[in-house]
Amino acid sequence: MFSTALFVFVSAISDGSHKQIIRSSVEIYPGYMEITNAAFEDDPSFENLIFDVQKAKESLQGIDGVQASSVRFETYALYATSEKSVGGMFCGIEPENEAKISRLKASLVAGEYLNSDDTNALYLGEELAKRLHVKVGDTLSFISTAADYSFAADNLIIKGLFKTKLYEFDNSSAFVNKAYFDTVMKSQNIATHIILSPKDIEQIDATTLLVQQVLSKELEVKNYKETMEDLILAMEVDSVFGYITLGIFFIVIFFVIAIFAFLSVYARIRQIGILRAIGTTPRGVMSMILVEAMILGTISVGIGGAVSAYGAYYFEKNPIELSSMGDLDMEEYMTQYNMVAEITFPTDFNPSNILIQMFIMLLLNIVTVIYPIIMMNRFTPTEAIRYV
Amino acid sequence: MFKNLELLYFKMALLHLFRRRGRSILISLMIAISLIGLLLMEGMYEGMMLQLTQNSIKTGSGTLVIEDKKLRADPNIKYNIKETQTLASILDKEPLVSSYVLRISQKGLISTAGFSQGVSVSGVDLKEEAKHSEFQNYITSGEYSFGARERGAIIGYRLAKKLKVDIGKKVIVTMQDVNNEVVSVALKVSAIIKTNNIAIDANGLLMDINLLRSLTMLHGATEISVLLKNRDDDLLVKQSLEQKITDSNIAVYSYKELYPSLHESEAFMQTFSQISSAFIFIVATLGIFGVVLVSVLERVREFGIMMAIGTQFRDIVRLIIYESLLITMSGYLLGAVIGGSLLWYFSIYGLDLSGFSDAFSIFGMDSNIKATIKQEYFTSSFLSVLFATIAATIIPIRTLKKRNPIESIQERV
Amino acid sequence: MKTIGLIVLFSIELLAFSANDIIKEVEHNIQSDSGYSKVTMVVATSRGERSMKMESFNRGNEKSFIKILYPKQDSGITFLKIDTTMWQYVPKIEKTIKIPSSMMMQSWMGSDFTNDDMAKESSIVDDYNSAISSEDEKNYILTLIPKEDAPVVWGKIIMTIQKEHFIPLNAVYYDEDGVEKRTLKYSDVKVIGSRHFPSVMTLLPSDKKSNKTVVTMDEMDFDAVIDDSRFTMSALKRYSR
Repeated sequence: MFSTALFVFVSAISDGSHKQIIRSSVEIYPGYMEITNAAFEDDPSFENLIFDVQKAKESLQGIDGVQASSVRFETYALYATSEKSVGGMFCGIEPENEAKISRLKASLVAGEYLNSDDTNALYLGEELAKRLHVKVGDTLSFISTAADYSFAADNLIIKGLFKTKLYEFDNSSAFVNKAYFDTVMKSQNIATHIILSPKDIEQIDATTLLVQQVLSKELEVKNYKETMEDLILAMEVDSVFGYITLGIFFIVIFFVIAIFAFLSVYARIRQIGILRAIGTTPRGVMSMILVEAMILGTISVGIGGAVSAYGAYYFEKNPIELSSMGDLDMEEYMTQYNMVAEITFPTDFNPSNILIQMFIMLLLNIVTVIYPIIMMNRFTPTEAIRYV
Repeated sequence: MFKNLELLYFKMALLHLFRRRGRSILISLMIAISLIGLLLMEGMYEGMMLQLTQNSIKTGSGTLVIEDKKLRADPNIKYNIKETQTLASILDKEPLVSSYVLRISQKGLISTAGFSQGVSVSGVDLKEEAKHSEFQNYITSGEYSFGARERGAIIGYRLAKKLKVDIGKKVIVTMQDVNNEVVSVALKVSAIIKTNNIAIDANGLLMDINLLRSLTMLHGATEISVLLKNRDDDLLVKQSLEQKITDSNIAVYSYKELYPSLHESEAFMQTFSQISSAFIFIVATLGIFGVVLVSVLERVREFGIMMAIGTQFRDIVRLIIYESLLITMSGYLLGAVIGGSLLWYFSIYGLDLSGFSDAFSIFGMDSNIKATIKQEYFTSSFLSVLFATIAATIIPIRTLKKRNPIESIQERV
Repeated sequence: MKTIGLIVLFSIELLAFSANDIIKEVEHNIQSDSGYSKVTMVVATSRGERSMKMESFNRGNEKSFIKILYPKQDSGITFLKIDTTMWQYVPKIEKTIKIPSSMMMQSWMGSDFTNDDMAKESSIVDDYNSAISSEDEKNYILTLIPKEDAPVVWGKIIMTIQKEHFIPLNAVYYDEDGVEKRTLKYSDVKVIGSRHFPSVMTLLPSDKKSNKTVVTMDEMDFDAVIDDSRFTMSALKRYSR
């Protein structure tokens, strides 16, 4: 029972932490699905934009799998104070929609997030703010090239600072309300990206296909499995090691169960000897013990599974905090790898997984009693009775 | 007499184990197999981490790096090391230093007729680097040379792919000199490298240090990369160097300061494998516990008789402990031998995980992982097994004591 | 045998010398040590056309000052280039910003020129080995191959030059693999003093058929009197109005 709980729980933790890392990396900013001009990836110039955002948005309306969408225009700008100028990403977003598809709003650390009436308000990465020596309320200028290639420049007031803990991102990005962005950057109805979030992540490939079908052919949709392939691969590597570890656990648990099964059968050799003496066949003994093992196994696996399933469920809602792992700064560690620094490890509550694992444990339980029974049936009833 | 008695218990323990050989074998197998697994896991993890660290240290900045104090906060090559001679003579005398090289690092722009992007330019001396970073081992195509006129460039494979350039092609590198003036140079790609160090593979360009000196009008170097005979002496050597370097503008950093993530992932991996081992030993203890408990309980009468004929209770305890230790230690021996030899095999031939190589290189790892073997794997697991055994016998012994073996003789079973 | 070899050698030298000579004549036609010009630039892309006007001052190839006059929203933006460094002043934000080297290779104001094209000070003679590859009654065809260490991205340039007044007609730029990258066409020759000056330049990138950049010199003074103060940082703001 204990082992079932352990087994289910450990694999839930491992799956859960991977999902967590992927999920937070995706949700921090990149998003689950992105629509761009098909030529944008190879040549991210103003020649390859989404030139009719309205139309693209309208064509998305009929698709059931899409929960929310938000439009972005990402470009490069030079940010300047009177002392310093630093290059970085300059991005127009729809503040309300953006909040539904990424954690940009939730990453606020000072001041306020943007809203759709804002004009010269800038939402700036904390690290970039440090580099520019500015704080909330200060003025910062940008110069950039507008979508029509004219010059774009304006003074912006810093409305809020964000920190996603993705160092590179915090160190190079800033956002303004897209309605304002469109006036200075001459980008009405133009965007670089439309980010979508799916209703059901498990169905994302199907949804991606559906979206592609309704889009005009110069546009292209990709989901996070393509855009964040590196991360997914990295998680796979980690999974490989996770499964090796799990495999070892599994073997040890198998032995422990085998030992107990062995002991419990042997403890009853005499009893079985008597049963045999009064005429029960070896088959009968075997099936009797198997049924017993099955009942016992089911009960213990049931309890173990229930306990750990509850655990997995509970910790999915209330992730385990790992912030206090000795002198080890997990946050630092994850940030360095440009992973999202979530110091919590939620488990992945996945009922079908848990059931499969419970079934494996039950099967193991039964397998382990077979050998001792066979061994025992070799004894003659009289030997068994005298067995000490 | 005493010795004989000891031997007697030992023999009794052995005999009993033989009588119950099924469960004895199970227990030793369990311990052996979990030990093999643990050893492999630990060896592989550490091997992987070691590769990662060494790779980053060698192809990166070295175990220690000496540079101007201001360079890190404001990466402008005007903060460079002018008195390289003085530092070199200090380093020459440092006994724990195995090698050092001068380098110039500068950010720039690399362009072809069709494409341009940012690049990290490193001015290096290939002869010196051959003994230091051993870049020659990472060449995937081309020659480890800057050509007869030192106008060659060695570039990272990802960068080459992005620029769509191959060996012999020309690239233009534009950067700022010490006076912030923009300077350009044409270089011919002489080799492409894959170091698994993402900074170099995706953005790195190596060129001749003297050419870069004349281009940037910088006479010394921006950094001195130092490798030590033993990586763990980093702080010791750092202190010693700091004392000897009189120039207050110069700072010495250890790789642990430069790549805190590396150091931390080592610690993280270690913690992770420690937790896993603890887990496994707890489960194994449970198994041992079961066997010991049963073997004690089924012999309560036997022990009662022994006590009735004058055996002390602590001798019975000793007998039980002997028995348990005998099984677990035989399991330990088996596991240590098999696990050790597997590790030894992997430490020489490595475990090829190239199916995931793309993902590995993201983390700066080689896909062929070579295990490490450390004596402490064996000693620590030995102690764990010992501890698990003793922990597993405590409860059965206490139960036995409560049962009062002498009285139990009269029990009818 | 020896004589033939000598003649061939001699003639090659003669040809090479005259190719350089042709280029020097061409540069005399289009370059000035102290020049002033008013320029209209029309940039066409797949998304339409945009035009702008600017005035430009230069001292040799080393120093130049550009002020944007049109469109209105951009007017008053000034650029200063000294050697290879460029600054930009934007009146709307009242700031002077040094253009980082990473932006130097980017397109200049949406045209198919790069900032680098603008900032390059070296002349063709310094960076290229030139040879006359063919000639007919009217034109020379020159092939320019970059000198081995010249920091230019092109693999070769083929220039057509009108014999009579050394007027450039067009230049085709190739990459290292011999793939055509862009064509520069010269037209509308004006005679200013001893110079025969093509007042319109058209740049056509080869891989983007719909793109075109046309630069027209509306006014040109090759011997303008320009105050030294024009080429200082403070000029950026002062002459912005």
